[in-house]
Amino acid sequence: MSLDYLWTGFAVALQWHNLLFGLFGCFLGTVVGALPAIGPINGIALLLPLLYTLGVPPESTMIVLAGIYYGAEYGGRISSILLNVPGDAGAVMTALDGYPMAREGRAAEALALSGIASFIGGLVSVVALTFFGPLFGQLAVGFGPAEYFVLMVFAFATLTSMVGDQPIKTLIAATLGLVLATVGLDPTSGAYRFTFGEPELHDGIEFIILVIGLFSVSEVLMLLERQYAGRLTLLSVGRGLPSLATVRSCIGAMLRGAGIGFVIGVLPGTGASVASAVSYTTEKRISDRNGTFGKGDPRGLAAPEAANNAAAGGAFVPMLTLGVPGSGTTAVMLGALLLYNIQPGPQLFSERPEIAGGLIASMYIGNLLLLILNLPLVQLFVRMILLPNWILLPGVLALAFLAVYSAYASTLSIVITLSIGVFGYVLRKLGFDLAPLILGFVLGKVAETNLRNALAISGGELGIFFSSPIAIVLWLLAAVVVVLPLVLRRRGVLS
Amino acid sequence: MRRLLTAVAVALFAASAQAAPDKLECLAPAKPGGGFDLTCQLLRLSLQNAKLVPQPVAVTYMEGGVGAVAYNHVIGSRPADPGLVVAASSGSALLLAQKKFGVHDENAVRWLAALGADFGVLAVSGDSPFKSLKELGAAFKENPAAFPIGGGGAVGSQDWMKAAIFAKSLGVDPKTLRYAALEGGGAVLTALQGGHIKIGSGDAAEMGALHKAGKIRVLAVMSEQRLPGDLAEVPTAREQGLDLVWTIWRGFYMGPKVSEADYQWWVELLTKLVATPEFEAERKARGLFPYTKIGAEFDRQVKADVARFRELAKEAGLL
Amino acid sequence: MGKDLRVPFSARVPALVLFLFAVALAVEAARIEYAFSSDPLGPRAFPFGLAVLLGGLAVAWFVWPGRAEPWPRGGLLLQSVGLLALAYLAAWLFDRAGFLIAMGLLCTGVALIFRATLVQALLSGIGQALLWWLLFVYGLRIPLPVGRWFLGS
Repeated sequence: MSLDYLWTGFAVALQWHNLLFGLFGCFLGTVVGALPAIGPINGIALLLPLLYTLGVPPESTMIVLAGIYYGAEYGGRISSILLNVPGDAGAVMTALDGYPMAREGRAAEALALSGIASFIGGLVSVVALTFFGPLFGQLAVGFGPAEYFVLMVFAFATLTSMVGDQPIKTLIAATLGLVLATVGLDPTSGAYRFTFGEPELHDGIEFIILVIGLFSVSEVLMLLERQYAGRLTLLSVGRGLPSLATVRSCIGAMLRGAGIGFVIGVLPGTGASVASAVSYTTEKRISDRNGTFGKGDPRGLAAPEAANNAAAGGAFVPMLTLGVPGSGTTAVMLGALLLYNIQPGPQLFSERPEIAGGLIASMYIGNLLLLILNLPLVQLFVRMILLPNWILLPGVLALAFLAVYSAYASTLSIVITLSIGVFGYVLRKLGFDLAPLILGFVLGKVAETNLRNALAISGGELGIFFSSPIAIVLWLLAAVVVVLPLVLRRRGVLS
Repeated sequence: MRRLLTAVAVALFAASAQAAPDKLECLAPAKPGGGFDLTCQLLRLSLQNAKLVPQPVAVTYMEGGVGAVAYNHVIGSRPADPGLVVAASSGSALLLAQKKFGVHDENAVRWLAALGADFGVLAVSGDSPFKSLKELGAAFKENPAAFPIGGGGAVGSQDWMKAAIFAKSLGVDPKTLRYAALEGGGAVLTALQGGHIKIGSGDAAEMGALHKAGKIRVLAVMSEQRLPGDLAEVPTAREQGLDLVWTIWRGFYMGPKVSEADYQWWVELLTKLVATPEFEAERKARGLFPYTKIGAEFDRQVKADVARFRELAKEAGLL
Repeated sequence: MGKDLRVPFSARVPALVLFLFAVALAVEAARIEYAFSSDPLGPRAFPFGLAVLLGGLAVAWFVWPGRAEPWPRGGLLLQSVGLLALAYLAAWLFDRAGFLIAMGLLCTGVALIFRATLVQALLSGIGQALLWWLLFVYGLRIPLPVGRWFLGS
């Protein structure tokens, strides 16, 4: 594919009014991204009718929407790191090491580092999209239910990295996550499972409700405990930028995270939450020699943050090369194109180069703008945690209420969130790590659905899980992930 | 202090209460961006462009149970709101027929109107040897197990129903279908192209472009007449000897205690609206085909649909 | 593992609770109603399998309870329960008394628990309630409840 469309695109995106549109989108995206449970879909839904009514041309509309989309990926990390309130599903893993860093007084560093990781993830994915888009489009087509299931087997294999010094509790937490994922409509048979006749449970337990309950609500209780013990001290925000050595030590994690995130983001059946989960567990498997992951290791922050931005870019691949949405948000953007009577798909590059090219060019520009915007803003954002606890902690609860209510418009979901928070607090007191629970929840749904769909297709034959090269490669990768670190460790002992 | 807060709240409420009787709201019982949102946006934008009413329609969202949460909410909490309409579709009727909306049935709300429709289609991949529904049907009947079918919903959903009536019309028991419940229409399209499924069950609007591009081949549209647009050359199932019709209407209902006068106000408004060119343009932009049923006619239609779906579900072994 | 034998029995109670939960889960899973499924496993197999796994893990946990932190007691317990009660009350009031009252109450109360003076707490409560209201209702156009109690009258 010739790159002429891209030059057309840059010519379009660099027009001053389109740059302004892009900047506006990035800003709005950062805001909606930082607010939990309100994501790019809300920003886009808010703006799209307005842009359409105002007669904004389609390429400018796409540039604003892409800016919102990307900005939200950057914004999601802010509340994750500072407040342990993940801004969106992709930013959950960011909290695992980002929040401990902030509590250690390295908030500014964590924000800056994650901004750089976001940039690397975004850049890798948009470069891959530009040069290998159609190739990865074919990869997406190659993934059927059987391949998705084996991908989940691989993901569970990387989960072995989470087994800490209390393996039984890790396994219990992961299993509880899997159990929680089964609540709601069974996507295969249409049966309602564990809903107890309550329509609000028909869609299952929403990820963001689970996460806000487990992370944010339980954290407020833990902080209360610290205050009581006299250990809730004022935080310092630390130096602004991370040292060059820190950045260098994270480059590998960022690139691996970006690669994993992009590939998983390309697949329409998985999203940013799976991408960041798998990149986190893989990175832990590879890099966590001293058990520092989960306690504020910069690499545990960099990998998932790069991955969720890369996944956001990857989700454009099926939209642009196949004409099918790769995620909920790209589905809305697809709808936006249709609104202008533009049919997404491979022909977009030749028929409407100003749109395909403008979109991709705006992703390059948007990422750069966001990096430039975000690094100086770090100093502003971190001021947030300098607020006294009597403002900050009511604020965390207020955010939890608002997030859940604005997404699900029901007070029952607030009650569920609070109850999950109590549950999370109890688990933490009992010495459980909550990350495996979240990972089990994220992977469980995809795993069960695809296992059963594959068996429905094959009529119960297990051969379907070994019938394609993709599946076989994934089985091998899973085996490598489990075995290799053991081998390396043994060799380390021997030498 | 609390009194002050109350006063603030009351003042804020009073400000909005002045416009309350004619404050218009369209509730989409889902996340933004789906089919229900599309239905509300159609109403909002076409009313705004046609300038039939001064006040804008606010679009709000209430996700849950494919509309079940909103259904119960409206009946329980806002049964008499004259300005509130809720987006619904034939999928809602199908869920009601299977008693999946909780305790309430189809008589618990006032059905207002359908403003457009999509139609079911059956498709194969672009390189499939089958060129017509007849050929496919013959081969399918011979060996159903060789034809895994994919749709964007669970057993009992609209996509499954389309596959089930196809199977039943050929004398194949729907229970024996090798049916994969994929995550939405997009997943059906990729699975078809990747050869993971042999038959795709979906909606006309989402399949048209890829059919035109040759990536997939739509073998039949499940409508009474052929459809305009990308699928104009695709014959109906009836033309090919199989009596399969699946209409996915998109419309609205109102609370059960809305007064007759308020209901009639909406009926008149929508009757005026659908005659405007602005409405035509918005309907087309959303990939919806003409399908207008308003007021009592629509009410009868929904109830007939629910009864028919109940029958179908029983025959398919769902109830 | 020898020193685990000296763990008080109370440390093993959570494992017992988990085991009972696993049993209940298994029973519920076996009772999931469905007409039929297009796959050979059906909707019961996966949750049932998880229940069995969880039961096994609960037994293991009972035998090796591992480390746990002490439960809150005394003043801390009171404060924790108070905070939760406040949160549940705010959730209950949320659509009844409306966002402003519920949120004002929650933020004021939580601020007090986190050692604000009364003035500071009221500042935090009223300030946040209004700020969030403005941001969501006017900035993001996401409607928040005004309060059913006032709508009824």
